Amino acid sequence: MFRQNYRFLIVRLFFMVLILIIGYKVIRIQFINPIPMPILSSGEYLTVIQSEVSRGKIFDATGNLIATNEPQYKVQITPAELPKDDQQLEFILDFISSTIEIPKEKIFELLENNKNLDPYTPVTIFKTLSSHEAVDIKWKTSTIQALNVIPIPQRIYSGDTLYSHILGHTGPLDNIEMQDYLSVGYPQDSLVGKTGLELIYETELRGKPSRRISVMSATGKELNELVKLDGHNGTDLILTIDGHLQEITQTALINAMEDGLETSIQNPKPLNSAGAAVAIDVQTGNILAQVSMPTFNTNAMVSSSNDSIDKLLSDPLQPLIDRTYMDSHPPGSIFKTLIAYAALEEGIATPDTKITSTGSLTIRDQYNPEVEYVFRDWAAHGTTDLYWGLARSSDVYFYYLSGGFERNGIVEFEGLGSEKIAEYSRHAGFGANTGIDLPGETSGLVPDPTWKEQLYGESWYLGDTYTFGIGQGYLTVTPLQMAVWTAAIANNGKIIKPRLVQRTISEGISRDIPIIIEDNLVNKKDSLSIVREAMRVAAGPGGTARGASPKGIEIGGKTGTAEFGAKFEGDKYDSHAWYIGFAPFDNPEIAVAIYVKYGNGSQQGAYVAHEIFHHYFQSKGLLP
Amino acid sequence: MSNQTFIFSSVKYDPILCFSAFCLVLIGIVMKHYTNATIDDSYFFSAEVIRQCSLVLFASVFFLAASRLNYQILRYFHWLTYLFGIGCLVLVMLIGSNEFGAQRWIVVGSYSLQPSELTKIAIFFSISTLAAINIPNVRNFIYCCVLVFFPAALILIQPDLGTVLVVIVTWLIFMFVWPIPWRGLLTTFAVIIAFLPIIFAVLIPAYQRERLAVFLDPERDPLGSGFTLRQVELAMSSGGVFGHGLEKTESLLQTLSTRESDFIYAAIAEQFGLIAALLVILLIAIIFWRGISIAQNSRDIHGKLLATSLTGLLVVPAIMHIAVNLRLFPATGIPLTFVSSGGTALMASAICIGILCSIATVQERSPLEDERYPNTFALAEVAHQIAKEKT
Repeated sequence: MFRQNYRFLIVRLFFMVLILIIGYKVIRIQFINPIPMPILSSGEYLTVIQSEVSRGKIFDATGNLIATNEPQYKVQITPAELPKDDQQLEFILDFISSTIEIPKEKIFELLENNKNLDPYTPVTIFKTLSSHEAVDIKWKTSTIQALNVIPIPQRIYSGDTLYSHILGHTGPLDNIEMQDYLSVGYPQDSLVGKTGLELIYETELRGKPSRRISVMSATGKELNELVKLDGHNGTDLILTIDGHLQEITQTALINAMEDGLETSIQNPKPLNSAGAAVAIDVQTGNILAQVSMPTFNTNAMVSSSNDSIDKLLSDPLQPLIDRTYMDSHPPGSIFKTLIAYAALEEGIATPDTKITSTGSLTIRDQYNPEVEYVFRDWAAHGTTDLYWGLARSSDVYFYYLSGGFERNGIVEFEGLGSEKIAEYSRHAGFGANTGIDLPGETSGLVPDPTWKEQLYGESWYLGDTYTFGIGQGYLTVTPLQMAVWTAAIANNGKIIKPRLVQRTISEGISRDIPIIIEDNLVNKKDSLSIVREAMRVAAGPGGTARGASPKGIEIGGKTGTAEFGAKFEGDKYDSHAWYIGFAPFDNPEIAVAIYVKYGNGSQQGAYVAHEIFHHYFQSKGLLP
Repeated sequence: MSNQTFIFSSVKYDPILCFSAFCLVLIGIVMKHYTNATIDDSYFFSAEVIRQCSLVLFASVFFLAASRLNYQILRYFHWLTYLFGIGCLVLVMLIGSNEFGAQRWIVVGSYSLQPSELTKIAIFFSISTLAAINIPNVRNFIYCCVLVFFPAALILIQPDLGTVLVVIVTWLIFMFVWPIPWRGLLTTFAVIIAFLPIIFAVLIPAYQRERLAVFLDPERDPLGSGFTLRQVELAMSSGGVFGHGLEKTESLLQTLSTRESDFIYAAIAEQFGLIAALLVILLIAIIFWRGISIAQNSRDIHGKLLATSLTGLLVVPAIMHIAVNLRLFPATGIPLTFVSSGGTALMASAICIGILCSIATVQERSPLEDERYPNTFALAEVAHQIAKEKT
């Protein structure tokens, strides 16, 4: 075992060398070569001070400031500096409570809650004083050591309800986040992004607080700074949103929602509607306008009490939900654009494929020929080619393309089939998050036979394929996904990740956020240009989508009117209004997707799209 | 013969080893008082101090139990302990709580358990058993590698880089003492270095990479950890030779949320000065020296290897902790053995010391212990002879 003994010797030597190195290093730091220390007179001490920097501002694409900081003040008490003597303590707290007008019990409660913390950690007892009040209180209480009045940056958002969903808001740390934020160096009373861009870009917006180690006098005054770590202000965000277009969109959407309530067949008519509108740049994925209704006032979220926030949370209209990307619905006929594209690409159809709609399609049960199922069309369109099938939104046309048609055992028309539709849908970005820089996105649902089997234990029927083909049934999509798909039609197949922030500016250095192309759609047969042409026909004279065309600009569009909810008398349903479109037709720049809860596509949907297009080209000087 | 008993009736407690460990534990209790800010500082036995005392008592029970168990008989069950160790890690993955972005703890009531601490011991118990009855050839070497790297990978995805580093360094020492021939060791080193960039890129979490970057270039500093390093250095400088003494003063480490665990060495140096800082290093050196002596004096290979690896598990994290505090090593968040470790880690350290005492007991009592396992050990001896002759 000689060999092992000699190995042991090496291990011993190795570790002793390590131990000598650390021993030497300690001696060097503490004795030979310490950082020079100031000579502290009695009562003076060293401390670490962290000062927060101002949070990054947010601008819209045209340079208007939409989120900024306005200092407000808070009153803090340092427990360690309160007198130990009960009577004196009582007196001081009485004085504080009368000066800032909050009950003494409240102060006691706050101090009690923070008892376990370091006594030198100041406890905030009052927030949001204006600068005038702050000066006043500071002057009155200047003799009280334990009390400090400290400015805190407060978020102010312009356009009260205009950017609420996008920007989100800031708020104090809650119990769940606390540990995570503290571990990366946030102080306990930090304001952090809670939702929206404020949350997603929290790290950038916060900036870097400066920290320093200083000599403090016995009375807590900073005397001398030893080590300093420079901070920098939060990064500014430049959004892709055009503030003016956003405003126009919001107004149009509100009008359309109100107007759409009339189309409901409920009795009495519903009192509230909901809606969403997205306008996107087809080449960059820049979101030019993104509006969700109903909305709320962001400034109220920041400054007001918990009660009003709770009220918003429990509001049955759910104003906090951003309907552009957090909520999904069946898209109805706008989905026919995808069926048309898939059918062309798969060779199921050509632009000349002619199909006759007599107002309905009847199929026999595959097991029991006595039973017939009738799939209705919204009108009898007669014989149409693909362009007019899409322009007139013939349901029967798309029943054929999606499910095919079979009579007496003879296949008269071969359809895409559910699997293929699901495959093309997923490629087009449905059933998955778009990856927009906002939290809480929903993916919607692309059904397929396996999914149905697993969830319902039922097999997939031909009828399911038919309803899938006209964008009804199990399929749900978000308006944002629709906007991305429409942009892909317009830009010839690029699925671009939508984005709200195009640029960040930090310490004067501007950084462009890269454009991300998620996927390139198969377009071997130039199907997308045929779909575009069909959408041009739809938005032209005689098409369902004509209502959105601004005078003098040629566009492509498609309406959708998707039934939802409970069945009413005479087999009728309420319907969602959908509209997708792009413009100008020749060299598309902008794509829109509109959703209105009650309404129909060619009226309410087209109206909002028209307003967006009109304003967009007006501001470019192309329209009067 | 005594070594046939499963539980010893009397144990040879190595006095120097046990006393050093006890001193470190004591320092840990005292530092609980100084690192915890409570409103009333005049009172020593605060909740935190009492909690630490109770943990120490709890750990002592494990120490006594481990010292009385005959590890030689226990080794027949090494598969069970190994499976238990892996089971612990899997359990953490399934029901562990997620704190500070890492899933290392299982929460039971108000205590959180960190099972990877026990897994460390189980791993080395297992491979030292296997190594004792097998010659150090390539096949057995690879076998041992798998047994170590599988749990190490599980710990790495928690992620707990510190523990993984401790396991790997201890494993290298183990291999060295087994003894793997030099050529084998060099090959191992080459392989590790070759795979390092891949491991670094794929498995190491971003914050850890950032810490490494800060260590290499303190100016970088996105979250202020470079500042933290300067802060720690300043705190230690302010301690000087004699420290602040017994009086509880404002600490420069106050703003560090991990001052009680990852920066306890700096806190000791700040509060009690160079004297205490060197004392801690001395105590660790003693534990190391005694541990290796027990290993060297052990008459069976199993005892040698087990004692070496347990000593490694105690000393390696301690040296790494101090090195981090002294800016000699990138911040990995390792507590100081016995002083600032959590409950489970303290328990694991106590078990290590206990087993070391048990090994010392066996070596004392049974000079002819090889008779107990004539076949396996005779085989191993022959194998060693052959291996020696070959080289």
